Amino acid sequence: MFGMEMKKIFSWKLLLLIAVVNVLLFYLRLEFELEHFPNGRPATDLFRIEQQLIPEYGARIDENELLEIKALYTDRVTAANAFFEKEDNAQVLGITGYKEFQAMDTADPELSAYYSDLMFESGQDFLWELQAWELLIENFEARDSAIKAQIERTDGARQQHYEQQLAEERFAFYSSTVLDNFLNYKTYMAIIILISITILMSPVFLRDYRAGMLPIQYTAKVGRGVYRAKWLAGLCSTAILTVLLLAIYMGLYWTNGTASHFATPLSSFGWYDYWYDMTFFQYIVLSVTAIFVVAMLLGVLSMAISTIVPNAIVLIGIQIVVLFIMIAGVTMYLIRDIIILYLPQMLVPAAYLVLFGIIFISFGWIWRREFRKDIV
Amino acid sequence: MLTISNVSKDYGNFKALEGMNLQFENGIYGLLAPNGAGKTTLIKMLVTLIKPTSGEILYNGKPIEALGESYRELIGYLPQHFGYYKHYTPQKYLRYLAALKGLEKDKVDQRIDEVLEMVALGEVKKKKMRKFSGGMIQRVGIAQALLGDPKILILDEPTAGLDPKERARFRHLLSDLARERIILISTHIVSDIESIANEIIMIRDQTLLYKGDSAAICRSLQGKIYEVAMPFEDFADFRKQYLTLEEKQEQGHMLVRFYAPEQQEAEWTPAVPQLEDVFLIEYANESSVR
Amino acid sequence: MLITWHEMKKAITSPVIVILLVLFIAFNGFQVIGQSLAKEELKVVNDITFLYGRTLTNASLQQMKDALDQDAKKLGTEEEVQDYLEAMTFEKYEQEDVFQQQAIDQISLNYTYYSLGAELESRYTSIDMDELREDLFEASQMQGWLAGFMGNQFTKWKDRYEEIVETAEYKEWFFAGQYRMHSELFRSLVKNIAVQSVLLVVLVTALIANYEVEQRTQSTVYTTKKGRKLIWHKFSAAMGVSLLIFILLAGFSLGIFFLTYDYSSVWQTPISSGLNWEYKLPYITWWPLTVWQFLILALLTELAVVLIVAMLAFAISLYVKNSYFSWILCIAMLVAIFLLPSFLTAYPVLQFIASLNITMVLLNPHMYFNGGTTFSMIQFFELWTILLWLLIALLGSGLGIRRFLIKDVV
Repeated sequence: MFGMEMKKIFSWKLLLLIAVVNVLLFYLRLEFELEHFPNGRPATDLFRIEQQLIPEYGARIDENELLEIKALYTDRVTAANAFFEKEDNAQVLGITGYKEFQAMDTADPELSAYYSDLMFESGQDFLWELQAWELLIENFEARDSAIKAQIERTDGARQQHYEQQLAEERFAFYSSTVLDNFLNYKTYMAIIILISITILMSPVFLRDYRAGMLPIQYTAKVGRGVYRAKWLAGLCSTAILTVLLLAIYMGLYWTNGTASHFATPLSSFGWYDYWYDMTFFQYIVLSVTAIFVVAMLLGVLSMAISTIVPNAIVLIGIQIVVLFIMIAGVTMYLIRDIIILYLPQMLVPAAYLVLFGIIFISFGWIWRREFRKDIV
Repeated sequence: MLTISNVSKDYGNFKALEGMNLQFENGIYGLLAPNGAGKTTLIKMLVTLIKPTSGEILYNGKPIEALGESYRELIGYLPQHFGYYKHYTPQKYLRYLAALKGLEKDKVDQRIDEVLEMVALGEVKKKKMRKFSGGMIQRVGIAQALLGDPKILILDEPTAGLDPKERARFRHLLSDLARERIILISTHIVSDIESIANEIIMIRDQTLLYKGDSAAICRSLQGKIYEVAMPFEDFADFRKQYLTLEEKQEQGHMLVRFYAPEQQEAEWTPAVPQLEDVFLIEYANESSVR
Repeated sequence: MLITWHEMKKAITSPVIVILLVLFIAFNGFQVIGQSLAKEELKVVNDITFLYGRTLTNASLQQMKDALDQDAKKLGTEEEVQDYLEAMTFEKYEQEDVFQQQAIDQISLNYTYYSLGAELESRYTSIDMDELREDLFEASQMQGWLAGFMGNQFTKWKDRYEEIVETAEYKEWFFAGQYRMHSELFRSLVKNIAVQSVLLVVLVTALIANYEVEQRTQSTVYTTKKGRKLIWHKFSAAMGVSLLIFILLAGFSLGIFFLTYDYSSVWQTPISSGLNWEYKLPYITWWPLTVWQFLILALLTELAVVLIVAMLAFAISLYVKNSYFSWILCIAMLVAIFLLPSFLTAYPVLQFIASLNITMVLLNPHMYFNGGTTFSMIQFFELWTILLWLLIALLGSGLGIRRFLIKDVV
């Protein structure tokens, strides 16, 4: 019986529809995060440098390592100087080396034309790369004052977090290029999966109700136990589709080649701060788990709605509102920003508890009602 | 006059109806057939829901398809599964259908009251149909079929869900209406039409089997129906030999009514053929009957 | 009419439609009010137009400058307003009392507009049309007639830009670009209204078209005198309810918007005002359109799109017959035609045709009637797209209805 209910849920028409919707939504947003990673300059250069440095220096950079990194940078500056020495144009304009190039007055039309020619037209990689090196080194050199500024500005648990970070000397050297990309990726991935689950699960109970199956099913030997079977089949189907989609989309994410960053803790990447420190890989696992949990909750909620609606129009009407809340509320705060520091520490866990509570209490009520109600 | 001329209907390889020829004039027609014989297909063609694959249906010599509205204006139809809007009252629903049926606006409410009176629903005309019993819904269905004072009234299983009292009332209603219109009643329940139908139409194997008045059809069985009382132990053998039409357990023995087209034996009592007998005999081989 | 009204009532009396409509209006209301932090500051434009007229001329700017200098003097300085404000550090400001601070804020705000006005001419006339033309041809490898056509379009647009410069059309007061009021009204609110209308309209159309299937009343309803011709009434009813939904959504949402923001002094300002400069380029419209004309035209355009979507949804519903699938398919189709042009970058002609795209029109009301360097900014883009899709939608529903009229009802 369980198997037959599963077969009804995975009707080929519905699967085809879900496939079409997935392809469309993939190309609408998600594909961009794959195609355009790293997105432009200097993100491309930052990513390349990080891929080079992480295996060598790991998560934390000490003073000696910083000197080595600076030496790497200086080598490149020397190469840049050599480049400008050979450039006739540069000599004419008075740019004798990289220092002069950096300091030049871009308000001067001639210089500005030369600048944009180098940076954009002929696309000199080494110039962009030097910028990226500078960005990383300068940020790192300002590490103390940056955290101290944060301590000034915050209070309570957040302040403690920064104080602890300062005390343990957990400073970020790397950029947020990879994390930003993953943040966007997981958000759109979550949205696509939630929409797919809604499409799959919404008709589960309505289907049999509209077909006039209830009087037959509920008077059969299993009686209203069939509701339990459908419910379990629904839960399993939600899990299967979620795992399948997560596997596909995380497989695609793998092609971004960010494995180099997996073992590095979040605190090594700049820009965002998090309540809990964990490696990037652990963060990915946490995010994927969160998506799975929310998808399961949405599956349960969709089944609950499916039980009480009289027809497809009401079903869609309610699901428009539910999906809006799921995307604008749950996905944004409970998946995208799951352990981010700018949300209160207890907000996300508490919100999950409330979500669990609401969904299971309402479902329990609907379940009981289904087992007791008169079938007319 | 409604004429069905050599009509067939196929669904791919499956033939739902084949070479059907029929004529209807004013009066009540009882359409008798087991399930799957093509009864519903025939009715759906008469009410324009489906089209014949070949052949045509004519009203006063004109194809009903070409007549369009002016044909549908004449029909009143009660489908086998009568659909209704649960959240409407009978009055509201009938007002809606009246608009679709093109009734004159200022006469609509009066007419609705009339038909609801006919089916004894006048008192609940402002109650939502959600709470109605099956019999009440069926009566709403009958009321809507009568709403347009149709010249052709087609009723598919009209007595389903009606209690005996309502059934009797319904038969009287039809007899009153029959004078100036064609009424076609499809049913399994022979007793519903036996007394009121002018003609019986029987369909078997997707084609017309018989059309004629019920007395004539019964007369054809004269001398072939008998009754006999026998001990229980003989009954099993007897049943293998003859087609039994009615089996009744009585004190100490079995009273059997049966069909014996050829021979006759002394202890058998001849019985008067009923329409029910015809039905059972003609469809003896149809699995849905026995 | 009566029958159409009956069909409309099936949708209008459906609680889910009414509740969604109310929720959408409430959402728009919250959005508008939540974004309206700057609404008091925006009122300064009323004062400016009241005092110096709607058009900015050298004379009126000079008047404005003099008045600002006077105001600065009243605050006890001998400096000109510009120097006064530049010298006003945060520490100094903090030391002043509340009234003084308000006065400084007011002057500073007025001065912002004055300096925008003073720099407007040089800023506006420095738009480099030749560079934009290069952008146009770099973005797509057009050849043949398409290259010629787009080139012509660009030249026309350039002429229009020159006309705006010549007639000083851009020299009229509007809310400063930094407030993004054009985007606030069109890109956020009108777009939201249109998208919400589409969500509702598709639902309503599926409901009306499939009502008899869902309620199992086909045999009763389609055998009446009206019979299957009822489908025409259903079509009109779907259009009628769609119109009603759009009017209600737009009416209430825009009502909240204009109660929140005071537009009284800028209704007559052209959309192509140089003050209305939010991103890389100002809004350079193909025709001189004032704010109220633009608003009316934008709403009519969105309404046309919404009605076309309703027709498409009607056609899909007739084929699919299942409200749930119809709704999802219809929305998916709108997404699909939106994506189509990006798959056709290798074939500029196809890409051009695919760019005549109702979803694009639906989502970009702030760019209506604007010229520029993409396929969707040609002259009459909105009109061509609407006509093309009106044709497709009429054809689709026409075929669907014809099929319905002759098909067996089972």
